[in-house]
Amino acid sequence: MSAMLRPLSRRVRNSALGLGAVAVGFYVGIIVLLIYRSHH
Amino acid sequence: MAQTHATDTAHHDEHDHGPAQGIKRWLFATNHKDIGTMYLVFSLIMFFIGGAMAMVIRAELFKPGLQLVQPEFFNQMTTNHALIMIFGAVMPAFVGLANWMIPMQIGAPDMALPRMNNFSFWILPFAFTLLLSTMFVPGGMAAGGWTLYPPLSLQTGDSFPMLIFAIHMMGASSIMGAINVIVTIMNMRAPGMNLLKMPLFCWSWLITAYLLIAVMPVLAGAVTMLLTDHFFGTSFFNAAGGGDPVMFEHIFWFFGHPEVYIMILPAFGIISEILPTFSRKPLFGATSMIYAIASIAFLSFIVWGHHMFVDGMPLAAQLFYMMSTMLIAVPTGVKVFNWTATMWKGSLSFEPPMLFALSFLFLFTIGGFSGVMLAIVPVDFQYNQTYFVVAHFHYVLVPGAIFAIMGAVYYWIPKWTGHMYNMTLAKWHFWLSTIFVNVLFFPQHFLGLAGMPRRIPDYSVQFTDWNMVSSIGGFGFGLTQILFAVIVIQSIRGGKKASAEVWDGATPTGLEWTLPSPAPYHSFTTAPEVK
Repeated sequence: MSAMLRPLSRRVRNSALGLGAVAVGFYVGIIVLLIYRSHH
Repeated sequence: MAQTHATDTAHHDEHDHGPAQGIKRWLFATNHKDIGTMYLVFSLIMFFIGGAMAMVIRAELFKPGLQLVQPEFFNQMTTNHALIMIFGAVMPAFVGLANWMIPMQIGAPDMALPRMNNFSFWILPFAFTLLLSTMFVPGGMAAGGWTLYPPLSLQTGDSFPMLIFAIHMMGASSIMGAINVIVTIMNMRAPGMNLLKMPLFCWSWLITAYLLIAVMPVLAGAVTMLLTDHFFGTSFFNAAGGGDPVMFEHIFWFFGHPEVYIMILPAFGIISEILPTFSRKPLFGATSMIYAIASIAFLSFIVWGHHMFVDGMPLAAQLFYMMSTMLIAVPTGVKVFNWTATMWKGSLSFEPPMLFALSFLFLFTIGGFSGVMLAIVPVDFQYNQTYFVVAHFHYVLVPGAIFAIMGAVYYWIPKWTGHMYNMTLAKWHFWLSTIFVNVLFFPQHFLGLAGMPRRIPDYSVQFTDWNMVSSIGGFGFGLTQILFAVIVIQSIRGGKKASAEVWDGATPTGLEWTLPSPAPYHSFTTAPEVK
């Protein structure tokens, strides 16, 4: 099923989860970056 | 730009229902209009609380010597005035406007994630109650500045973990709000409303929302590391343990500079809505406005080092941050030019929203110019940590962001309440605000150039005169804002009936003007078709 044919609710859910994952990634990423930096 | 096609949007089908009764309407709100209203009311309350703190600051600085408060309490006021105004007043006001207007402008029935919308609002009262309650804990409120630089911020008393938790909650709220805006705009536009037909306010918010998702987690990460440094023996920013306090500044300003644009890009969108309406002309260069906003957003990620010139950094880095910062003047100049060109040969009228937009145009540009001055490295060495910086960012944020918010309220409130407001009183509010804001902040340029440091409760006698002028402006500006609350309350309670178009001869870009005034509780239950 193409992205355009998906029901709206699925697109909404997937977009929200994707953006939420990006936000969590930035949060964890910055901390991991500093831990990595402190060991090298 | 966008025109609807034969859609009776005022029509309610039999499944439609009104708001719940009593407190449940607000506690369990999922309607974008109710949540937008709660955001705006919350923001106004925070504006007055943050404003009261500003009054304490200006009262203490009225003349040299310690008058009213202890230095420690003064520092608590400067720190929390900033936190409350940024996270409690300006940002929630823009989210409130986004909640009200984005679905109505793009022809959607509601925000895409209404229950998350409820959650992201209701976090805020808890976050700010927690922040304000730190006034009553041993050691008082945080006093190390809103930038929370360690090691100073690590000396905060018992309020430290409460502050960190409050900031986490504010961040979570903002991120959820941003996700909601992006998902709504990307998935719920009416048929025919492609991205280039979308109103500039929605565009500015779409880009702002991406900025929020990129930088709020970085702030959360930074304050989490402050927390672990304070309580769990880590040394992220502790030089004695091998950490680097300057690293905190880098991380903070990687968040902090885009944050500045988070507070101004939606204002740009609002001005781009108001000026065409009261010029009775389409926005000049609408597409270039979108590119300009996107360019500013991109540049905002690569300029953070200009906050840290005096920390010491390689010459190449100084040059990079100086040049990239100055580059922001180019897309900003495009915007100011386009706004001016929109008014050129327009049939102008000067209702309160237009007055605030014009004031924004002149006074925000003053803030922009002093920003370019501060971008010059050797000049910044002189101005850094002086009142010149205070004057600069207050020009950007008060007659910039806050005037745009007030202009937006005056522009759209007839659509929200169905009533026109008292135009004479609103014009009084405008003129007094504009005069007092200049009396308040313009002399601070002189004080800064003369060398008065910021964040001090006392000063040398040569700074007395302009501080007195500034304080008088501050008290005047503060009192004037009571008028704003009165006008808003009057408009909610009654007044002359507003038409659907509201503003005579308007050239609207969004679909909000196709709805009756007040907008029905559920609008666009059938998607309108945009030609």
